[in-house]
Amino acid sequence: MPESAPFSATSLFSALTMDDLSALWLTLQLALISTLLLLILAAPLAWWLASTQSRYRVVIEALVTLPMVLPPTVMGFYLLILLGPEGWIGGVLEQSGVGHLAFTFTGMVIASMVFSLPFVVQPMQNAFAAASGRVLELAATLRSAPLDRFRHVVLPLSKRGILTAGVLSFAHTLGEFGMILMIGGNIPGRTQVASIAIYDHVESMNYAAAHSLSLLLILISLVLLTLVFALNRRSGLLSAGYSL
Amino acid sequence: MNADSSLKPTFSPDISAVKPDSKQRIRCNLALRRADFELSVDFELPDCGIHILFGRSGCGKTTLLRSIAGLESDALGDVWVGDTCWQSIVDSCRANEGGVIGSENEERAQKRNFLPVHQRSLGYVFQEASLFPHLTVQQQLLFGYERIDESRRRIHPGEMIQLLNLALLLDQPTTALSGGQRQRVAIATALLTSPDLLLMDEPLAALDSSSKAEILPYLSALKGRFKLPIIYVTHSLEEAIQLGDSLLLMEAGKLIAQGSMADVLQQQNLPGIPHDLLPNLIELARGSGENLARIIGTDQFLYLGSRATARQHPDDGAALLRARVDAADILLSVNPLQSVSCPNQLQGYIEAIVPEALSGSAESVVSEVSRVVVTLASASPAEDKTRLTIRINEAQTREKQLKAGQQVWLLINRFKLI
Repeated sequence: MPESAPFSATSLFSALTMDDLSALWLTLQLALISTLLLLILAAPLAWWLASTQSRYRVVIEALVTLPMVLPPTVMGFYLLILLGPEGWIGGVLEQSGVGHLAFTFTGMVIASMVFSLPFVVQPMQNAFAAASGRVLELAATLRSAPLDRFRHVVLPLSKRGILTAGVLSFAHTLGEFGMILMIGGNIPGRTQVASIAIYDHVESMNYAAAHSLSLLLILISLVLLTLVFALNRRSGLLSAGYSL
Repeated sequence: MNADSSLKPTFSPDISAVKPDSKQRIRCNLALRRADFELSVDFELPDCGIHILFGRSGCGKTTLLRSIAGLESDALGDVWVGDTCWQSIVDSCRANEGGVIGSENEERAQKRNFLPVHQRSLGYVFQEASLFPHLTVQQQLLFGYERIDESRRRIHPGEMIQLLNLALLLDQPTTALSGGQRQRVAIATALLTSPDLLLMDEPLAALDSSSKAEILPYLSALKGRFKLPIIYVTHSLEEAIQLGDSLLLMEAGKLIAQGSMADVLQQQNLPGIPHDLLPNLIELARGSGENLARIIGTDQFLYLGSRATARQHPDDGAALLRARVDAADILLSVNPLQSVSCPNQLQGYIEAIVPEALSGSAESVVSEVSRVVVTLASASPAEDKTRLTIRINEAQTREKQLKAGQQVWLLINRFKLI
């Protein structure tokens, strides 16, 4: 196996196995699905945090931020226990015939969502907070009901914050390792994601394959981020001078 | 004696000065308690005209306006606009009327009768010309218009765009407008919801003087164009005099005087109203093209001279005008004068002579200046009487033996159409 010059296009692809490609595909699926779900589910939470006067807010904020500071293995460990056949959630699912969630794609999506929660909630919360106050009062005096206000005032004004949240979550899931390893179990072709496949290649001294996969990840991330910054820039022009 | 008492400041909410025959369409009885502030007001207003909510900064004007709109959810009490109840305290609690509002029970009861802001038929113009930063002017204008029932649309975009001169701005983002333009768009947006009540919170306060001058004529035009009650918060007496039909004076969360602009301006010792000028307001009716205007409540005319053409406005038609005459610009004569240069000589009767209250001094000090209130001679009993107040030195009063009921002539040396 040639260990040098893995940078030509042919060798880039020749080093990749089917398992590598499916790991990459799985990673993208995981990142996309968990990001979309997270954006939808985190929006009400972010809105509540941005608008509430409740004294429990600080507690909830701390809880939401927790995945940011804990080692991924800690989160993964408890999720594995929770979602596994003996866990509160996994056990109930197992008994009802659905089956537990350890070493499944669904389990990985849940883990990704927990892991990326603070990266989604915080930019959204900041955006929502900036898009509330006077503009919402104005909308209310113009006959706009609460949900209508959220849809036609808060969301459009929070576009950039939501976009940022989505990118952070997506990128974060691409790079996820420890937690996914715990909950997914690294089953090639089923729950093996790109970051873990790279680790396996390095472990087995297959540097060419590790290079190939790594470069592909870098490329994908770079294209995504460039796209987002370009989009952001355009909407940035629109919202320039936004002050209320 | 009667007239005397009417000149004393009213330190309790007094609605007697509002025309008794006009329909009382807006009723408001609100209380709100904050750590360092307490609001407690009770008033009624007719369903048209501009009602100035006047008072010093921090007296609670904005809080009251926001409470009427429902933007202060902890404001308790009754708000009725026409036949619609915006909020009320349920009947069981009204037994306690006049007492302390805001006990826990009442607060709970109140919650059941609180129309949220978006269900109140109101327009609100904020002080800092709030617009949606993500919309164009056209989208902004239609925001409220599209959200009201088609059958309720009385004011339409075309006429607002024309009235407030917005045609050239329609495609611009709201963030690209100047301060004056923003406020014009904000006013138009609010009016396009065809509200039953327009609330304006110092709409000119955040503007520079040239933008103010840009907006004021539009505001005057609104008043003539739509039969719509407007509550207008300001701490500028100039704006109040120019726009107001009636004035509600606030101090420390309480309403301390209410009445027609002209009447309140002449009350003594009201905080926030400077008395050195003692402005009189004269309401005028003019047929188009004339440079004479009949003084409402009389069959006497005021010669407008060159001012008449300056104020010619295509929309005015047979316009109602308002003139301001400061007390110092009026001379009093006990005889009609033939050989003076003043073209405006009005006949009237002394209604009362009141010593001018000296602010801040003990009662025992005798004032050297009297206020003489003159009612202009009238042949139209149906209309409100026009009164003018002037200042005369005590010595002069004695020398001329002025007394109530005496016939006098007033020489209007200088006045300003506003």
